[in-house]
Amino acid sequence: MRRNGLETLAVTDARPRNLRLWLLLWLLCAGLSALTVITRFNSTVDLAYFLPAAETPQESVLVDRLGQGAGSQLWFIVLPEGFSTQPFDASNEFRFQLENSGLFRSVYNGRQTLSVEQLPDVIFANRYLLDDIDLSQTGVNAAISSRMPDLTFAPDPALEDIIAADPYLSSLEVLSKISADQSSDTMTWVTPGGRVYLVAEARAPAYEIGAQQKIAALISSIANDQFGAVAQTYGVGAYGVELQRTIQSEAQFRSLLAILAIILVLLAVYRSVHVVLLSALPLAMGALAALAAVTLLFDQIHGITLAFGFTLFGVAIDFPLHVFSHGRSGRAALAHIWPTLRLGAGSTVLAYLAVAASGSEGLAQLGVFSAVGVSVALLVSMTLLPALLGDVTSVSDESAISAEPVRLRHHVWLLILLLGGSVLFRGADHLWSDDLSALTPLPAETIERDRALRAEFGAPDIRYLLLLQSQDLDSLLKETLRVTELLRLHPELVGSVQSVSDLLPPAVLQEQRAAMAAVFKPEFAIQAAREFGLVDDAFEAFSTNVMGLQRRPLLVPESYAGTVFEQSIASGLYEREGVWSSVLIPGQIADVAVFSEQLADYAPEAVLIDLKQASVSLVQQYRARILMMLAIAFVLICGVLLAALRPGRRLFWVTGGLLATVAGTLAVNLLLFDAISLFNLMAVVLVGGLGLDYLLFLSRVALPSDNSIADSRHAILASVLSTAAGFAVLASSAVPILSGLGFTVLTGVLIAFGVARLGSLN
Amino acid sequence: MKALLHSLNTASFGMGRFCCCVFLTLSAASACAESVVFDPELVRILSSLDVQRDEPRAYSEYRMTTRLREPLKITGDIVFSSQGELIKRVIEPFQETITIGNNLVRVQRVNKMREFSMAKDQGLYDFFRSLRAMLEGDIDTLDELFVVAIERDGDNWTLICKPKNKYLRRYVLEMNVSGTADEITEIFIDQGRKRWQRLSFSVVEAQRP
Repeated sequence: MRRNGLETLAVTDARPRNLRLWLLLWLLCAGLSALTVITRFNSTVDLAYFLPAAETPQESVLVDRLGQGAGSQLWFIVLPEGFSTQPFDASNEFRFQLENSGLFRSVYNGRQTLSVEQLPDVIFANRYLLDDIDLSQTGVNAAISSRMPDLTFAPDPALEDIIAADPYLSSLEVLSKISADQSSDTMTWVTPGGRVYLVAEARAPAYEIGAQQKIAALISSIANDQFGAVAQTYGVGAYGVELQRTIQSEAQFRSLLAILAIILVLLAVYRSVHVVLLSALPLAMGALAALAAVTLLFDQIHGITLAFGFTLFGVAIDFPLHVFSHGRSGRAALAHIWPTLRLGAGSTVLAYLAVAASGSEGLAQLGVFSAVGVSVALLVSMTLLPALLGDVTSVSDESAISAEPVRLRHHVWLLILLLGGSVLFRGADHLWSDDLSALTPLPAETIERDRALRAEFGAPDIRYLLLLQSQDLDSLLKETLRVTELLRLHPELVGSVQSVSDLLPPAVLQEQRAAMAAVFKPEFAIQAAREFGLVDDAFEAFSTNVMGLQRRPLLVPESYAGTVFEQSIASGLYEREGVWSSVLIPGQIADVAVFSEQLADYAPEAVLIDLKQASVSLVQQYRARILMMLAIAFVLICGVLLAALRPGRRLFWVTGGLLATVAGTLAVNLLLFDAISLFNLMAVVLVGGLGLDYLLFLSRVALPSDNSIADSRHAILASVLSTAAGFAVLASSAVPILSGLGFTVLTGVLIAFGVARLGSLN
Repeated sequence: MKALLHSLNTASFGMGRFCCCVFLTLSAASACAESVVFDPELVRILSSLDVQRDEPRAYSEYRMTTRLREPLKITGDIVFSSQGELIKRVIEPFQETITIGNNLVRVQRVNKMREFSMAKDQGLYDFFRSLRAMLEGDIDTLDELFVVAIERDGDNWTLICKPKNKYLRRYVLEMNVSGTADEITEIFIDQGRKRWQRLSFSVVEAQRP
């Protein structure tokens, strides 16, 4: 009955008596898990989930900005040349439609209908709390005198109204300070060739992927339906949608192909549809339970958790394969594999729990997901599968071979370990990728386009930040104002400073400014108007505003809630664990070393943050922590193996083989990708789990009475073939993260199989 | 966020409007004339206009707004540079130089200079296009922007220009460009709501300070 060296399972209808009980129990578990997932599932793509808890002020600011920084809600929209409508009309119409969609806080296309109403209320109403003005007769005269060119040249009546209400142009002065970088003043929003640029600030945070998808759909439909154009979109929200759409669809497509490949391999190996269907059962149950566990333990599940969780959980495919392959030798043979299966799975779970304890919420999710998934898959394989499989009849003709004792050869793993180790040693100086951007699954060209576009829109990359902290908000605001004013006095050091003090001066300063209103009399404005040939009531609106100044409540952070400045305030001033922090953005620093030196004199308590350096340090610490946890896991696994296998040749062979597999996989990755990223490292954890399984099963002492070793080899061959087929499909993906993952696992599994199979001969 | 904050920086929009107005004044005649390219008489007027490069022309201008008691008189000079820039200087009652070219507007006052893109204001952009079109003989672009009627009295002529473009109409109800033979003598812009400006070119060249 042998076909091409592979055996067919003969399944009978005999079912154990406890089948109903197990079925009921697992159905109940599945139902509860599904209910949990349906009612609580909430996903996110916020990268900050995968960063470790910040330990220094620099890291804290970095993590904050990566997560929901002020620019994270911006959508940059480009309509390329060549659409049918006149570009200016298209730009205005596009803006109008976006504004009226309710999805955006504000939309900008380079043009503004000028009017008092268009100025942000919170700025216009509080302009004299935000700006120092002289409200004496001399001051009013000077202000109106300097406005005469504006007033007489203004073709727009609305501008005349603004000047009449604000002859000091304080509101514009405040806005100008906030917008320290003026580069977008010269930005061409509609190019001569007809390319149209818009920028819009979404109401929803970037991690709300559903809202971002609505925005993407709206932009796409406006561009396509009305202008026959394909809009290009940039920004964190757009990338979230792109990741969701492009990469997920690619992942789904590849996963389907991979599943198909695995099914074909399993069909070829077992020649039974029934068996192939059953092999999916532990995986499905494990995945459902894993999802439910993460959903219960965490508020949101990260997209990376799902993608990598299913990958790491892939080790569970071995469990049903062992059941099927060993089941060929009869139910009694299954009883013999449980200890080895438990040992392999338990060790893998230990490694995953180490990942869970690696210091970030994302990795905690990943570890919990994989550990729960593997555990449940193992339990289902042990309890339900044999019952559903029924009795099997051995048809193998390999008993003669397998009855011979296994010889473990150490030179194979030693050779691989030596080769891999030497490659890693030689590449030790560039072993790891410290680039935080390598964590993002976005293609490099998208990141480059984003950088160029932000610079063009006047939102250049921010590399340096200044952090000030205090227990007391008002003290912090005073210090922030002092440092801001001091730095602005030194343009030779720093070209611009964006500071929250422009929007939120200390209370004492606001009170002083309000008190200035007591000096003012409406007659001052009338007198000045007469002097410059204007009608008496030309500045009536201004007089009324100033007279009401003393009754205005002082500005507090909450004053900006719901306004266009809400995000600026949130990212520039925040309280955490009783400590207030303000973040200043210094622009165009001439010489960082000199600036840093001067800063130590001006504001010794201020912390200059180099975001690039902070990100490298963050990744280094992150990796160090993951490596440490994996090392601890390795020691624990060794401990478990020691307890289970007892000291001896087999223990030495298994641990050595595991080390060789990991070193060999890392070495191949280093040779091919120049550096090992955290994603590669995660894939190596899966390889380690699979490798351990191969090593444990192939080193089992053969039972003279059964086909145990032949069955183990059969199961492992099935596992290697199916895993290699599945990950080869991923390795061929054009998406770097998927191909990298696929390649690492593919090479790792082949190395693991080589080490285990060549190192164990009859 | 920064880009949005830029959007709120209406100081530059205000400047844009100022320049738009200046530009209106400067380029109205040529723009209006070109828009009637299909009328042989206007083509004749347009083609006979003497556009001198790098030669300052003195002007005096009266402006009226709702808040002025009486029209304000402004004097200065205007230059079309050979590099294609348009430079308008105000000498009295304050000093200011506005330069328009290469899609950028530069406003220079005492101790203060500001530069921004004309694309911030479609009206300004369209006038710049009309000027370019006049210098380059782009009849289609001029016709796209204005509807023009002609009044003639011997050597004297007046072009009555009404913007087709809704963006221009927001600022200009009507522009009348008057001239004698090959010379523009006066530009009158009615902005509505008792707002107007009248720019007259002097016969004598302005003296540079």
